[in-house]
Amino acid sequence: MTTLANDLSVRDDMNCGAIIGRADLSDDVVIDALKERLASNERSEDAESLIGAAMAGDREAISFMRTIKVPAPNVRLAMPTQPLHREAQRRGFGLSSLRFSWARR
Amino acid sequence: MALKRLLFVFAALVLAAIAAWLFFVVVTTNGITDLHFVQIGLLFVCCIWLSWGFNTALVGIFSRDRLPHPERRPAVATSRTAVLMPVYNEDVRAVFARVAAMYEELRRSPDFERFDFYILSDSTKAENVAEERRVHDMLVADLAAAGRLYYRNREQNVGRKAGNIADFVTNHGGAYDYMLILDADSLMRADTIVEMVGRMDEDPELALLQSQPLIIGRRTPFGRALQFSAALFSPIFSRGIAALQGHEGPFWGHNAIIRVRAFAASCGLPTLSGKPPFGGHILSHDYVEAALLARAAYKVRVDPDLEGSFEEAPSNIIEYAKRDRRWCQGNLQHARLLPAPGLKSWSRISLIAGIMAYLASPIWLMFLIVSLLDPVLAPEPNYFPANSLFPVFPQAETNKALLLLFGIFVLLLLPKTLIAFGSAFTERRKSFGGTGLVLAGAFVELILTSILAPIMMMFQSKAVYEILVGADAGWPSTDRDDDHMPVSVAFRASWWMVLSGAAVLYASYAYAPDLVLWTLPIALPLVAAPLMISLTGNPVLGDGLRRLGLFTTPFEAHPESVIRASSHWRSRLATLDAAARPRKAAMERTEGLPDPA
Repeated sequence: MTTLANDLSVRDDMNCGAIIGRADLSDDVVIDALKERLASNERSEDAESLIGAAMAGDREAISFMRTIKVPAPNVRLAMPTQPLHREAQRRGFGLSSLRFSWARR
Repeated sequence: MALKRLLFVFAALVLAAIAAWLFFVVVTTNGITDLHFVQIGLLFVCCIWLSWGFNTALVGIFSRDRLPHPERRPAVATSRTAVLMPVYNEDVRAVFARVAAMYEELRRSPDFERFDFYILSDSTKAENVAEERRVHDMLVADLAAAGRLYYRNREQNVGRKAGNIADFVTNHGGAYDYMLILDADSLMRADTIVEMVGRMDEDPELALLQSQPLIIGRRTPFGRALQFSAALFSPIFSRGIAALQGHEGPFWGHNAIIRVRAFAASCGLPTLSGKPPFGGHILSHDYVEAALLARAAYKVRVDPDLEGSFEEAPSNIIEYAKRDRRWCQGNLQHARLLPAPGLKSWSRISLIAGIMAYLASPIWLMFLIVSLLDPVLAPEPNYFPANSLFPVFPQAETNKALLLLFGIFVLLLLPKTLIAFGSAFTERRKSFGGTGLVLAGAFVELILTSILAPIMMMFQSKAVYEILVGADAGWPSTDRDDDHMPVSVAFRASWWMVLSGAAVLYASYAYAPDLVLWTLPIALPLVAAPLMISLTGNPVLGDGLRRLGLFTTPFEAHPESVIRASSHWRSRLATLDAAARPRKAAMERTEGLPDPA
């Protein structure tokens, strides 16, 4: 994982996101984030070539890649609403044919 | 466990019944009136609450911490944890300084790769949101935290904090096994965070593990007294709670780790029918979430032995009362959830205990009012009852009255006294500055809380009254700054207490002069409330107490590295900010210039 503080190694099968430990991100997202960071730092380098350098193991490029802002992993979970009230129930007594009952919450 | 709980409840009821019986004997010596029944009923309820606290503390004193089982943890841990910091119009630099301190400390841990950090903003003020985005951007760059430190702001803060967490769970929760929920003022040691993850890994049925957060960073006398009291007494009280609640433990809303999928499956909160304060979103969601996890057969536990868990607290009584008002509304709202289907009995009892934490104040107040009315409305003694030639004089039940007074003092003071002496003469004293400072701190804290008790009682009673008449607290953010509290501000918040205290003094002097001395401990603090609020909220006075060593806590005397790092990061963020601003301003100026073409 290249996000480890002292690990600057680069694997052959990496995509752009994997450089920062986010292989789930598409290259476009990473490139856009990198462009944004380059602009905010007033650097005129080309984002693609910087990524290329990072992929090739350039320490400075990898370090810079680690300063970009990327979206959080999007793995959704359902959160069903839990019942906190008793359903209205019929409570009663007596013969089934002649029943006294009332609604109870 | 069932027997232990049964004994606990039985003991609370018996102690309260003894107090009520003694009181009955004392007040009905010379005849019974309707008012006496009201008095005795109110005292009985108050004493149940007192005995409840007393028993919890005793259980804590005589219990041992649960031992962790590292041998049950997987050899190679793979679980992933999201550290969540929900914020709402907070001091941006302070919040991000805490995040940076925890991130940096965790980065030194071999487990770092299993953690991500989220700042979940519900801020509504545009300037706060802009500042949060800017500081997040700065921090990601400075910490090289790409893909590890995230920020998002909800435009609609539906469901408040519970909705904020639910939003994270539904959008990102699937990427994580656990989430460590913090508050904007939380700070946790990295090894504590890692240990909490380890304990979750140990037991797949454990859905929520709560740590005992202790208060840090206060300067005012009020804040430092809270801080000292939390450091000295809370771990013991929490041990009592842990021993009693077992697997239906508490959730205090932050500094707790939660199994994400269990939470998602069990803790989707409904919106209650009707309008606030009793309808609408569930305010005190934490208690309810703990109850729902227990209902789903998961374990919820508090481990008081987990050290290195911190929070801040309001530094003056007015901010404390503001927070209390919100909590009070949330807890009273739980009354509607008591009959919820399937809840464990102890979860229901915990909800009742939460309600009683606030109802106790107006009940005490009513008891005091009725007790003052009693001698005023009492009929003149009849020295010659029917068929008696000789006068029958009223009997004094002084011994029983003293016994009752002694009993109430024991319930109130014994647990804290035992803990204070237990700490003053053991190894624990060293971290509090020595035997003398532990005892002096506990004594002054006792005096201070006794003086402030009537003021707190009035604030809480007002909160309960407002809620019962339908006023909603809203969602004000808590101010945690140690700013000076002017008497004028204190007076605006407490003028009605001054009037109440003066009225009590006048009424007892005019109608029951024998009671004047008895009313002084309540009436005088009320009359002096603005002064008390201002003095206890004065940071200069707090600094003076610190120089004397009073209310020394281990974290103040020897702050841990994460506490030091947090204050270092606060200055560092200011420096980074100052460096970034001229560049940003220059860019904005350039953008604002007319097109030269």
